[in-house]
Amino acid sequence: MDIQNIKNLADTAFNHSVHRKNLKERAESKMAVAHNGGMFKASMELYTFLRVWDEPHLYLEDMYGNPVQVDQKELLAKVTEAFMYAMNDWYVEFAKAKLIRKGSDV
Amino acid sequence: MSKGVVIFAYNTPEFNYIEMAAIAAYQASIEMLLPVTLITNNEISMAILKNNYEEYFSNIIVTNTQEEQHREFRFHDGIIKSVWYNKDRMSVYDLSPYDQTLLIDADYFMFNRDLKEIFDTSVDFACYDEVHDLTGQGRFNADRYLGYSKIPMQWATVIYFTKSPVAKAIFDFMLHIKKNYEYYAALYAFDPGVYRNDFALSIAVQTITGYSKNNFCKLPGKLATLDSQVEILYVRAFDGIMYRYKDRKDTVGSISHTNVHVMNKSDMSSFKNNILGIKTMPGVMAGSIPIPGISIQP
Repeated sequence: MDIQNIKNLADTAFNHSVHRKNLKERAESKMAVAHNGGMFKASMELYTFLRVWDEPHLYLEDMYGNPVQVDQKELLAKVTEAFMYAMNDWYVEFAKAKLIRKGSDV
Repeated sequence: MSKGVVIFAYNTPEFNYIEMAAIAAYQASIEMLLPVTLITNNEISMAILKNNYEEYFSNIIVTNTQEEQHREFRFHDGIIKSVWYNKDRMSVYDLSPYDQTLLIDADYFMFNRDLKEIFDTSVDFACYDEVHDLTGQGRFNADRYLGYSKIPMQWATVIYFTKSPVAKAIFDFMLHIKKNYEYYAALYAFDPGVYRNDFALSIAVQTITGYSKNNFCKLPGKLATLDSQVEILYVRAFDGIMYRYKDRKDTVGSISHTNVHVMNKSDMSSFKNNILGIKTMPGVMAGSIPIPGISIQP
């Protein structure tokens, strides 16, 4: 990047609300978990349900509206990993974005 | 079951699609740990490929596609009129060497492995039905529905399919729509000026899933997109993209670890060395190699 470009960049703005939406979309796309042929969203609800429903095998509706037989422990492990990773990543990026004041800070 | 990624790239005098496909293939193979097949057509493309980019593809298929059309590409720094080869996308069903295929455009760059999950499902066909405009300006709001018929738009930028009757039916129907494009344009009330795979796919999916809405499996999330008029400022391998666009004033944005459809073809090529310049050992995930100055997705 040459000097003129750097100068131009210093004059640019940064849109926090757009960036936050982008981070939210990014986090949600990281919450998709495949299990036993189905696709699940690693949501708080699914995470909580799997934590409290202590049956080794159960039947859950996946993202596509299909009933899927799931292994409770296996799916809980996957959902926990995906949920924690997505949320942690979202939090870190969100915190970083708070420090941005203008385009050149990006 | 064999799994892989397929990219179409037909060079034109204005755009080096092979180069873009090499960047996309490199990112895809590192992130997804899957082989990438290139489908290309003519001698010029092959010459460029053999001289510079052959190593980025595990398989190359040559077709004799001649069906061209002309369109205008509007970029932040001007308009380029170019030939465009996009009319044989549906042939991917027969050409793909994989049982499970992820078809991506040459300008779709993968910065994460989120799409790998779809390979572990029993889904036979999936694509995105929503675009996420990374500039937040709603540049694709008019494309949420097809023409005046208002059937939901499906995006052909990324398509996952298996060798299955459902996928074959959709691609066969896309071919039928292409052959009778003016008829379908009149029926669904859209401009038949330029053939678009998105339109053919939207009609095919809507018809084959019983003329209903949302009666099919979509890819998780939305298709993150940077419009052709967004200027690409910087691209960092295995990380993300920094870009500039016009809002009330010049605005800079960045997105990392997100797969992005970059429609500004001319800008992306100028960052090829940022990606193709980084070499990893075969079979080693990029995330396990420390590269100074680059944040890697764990």
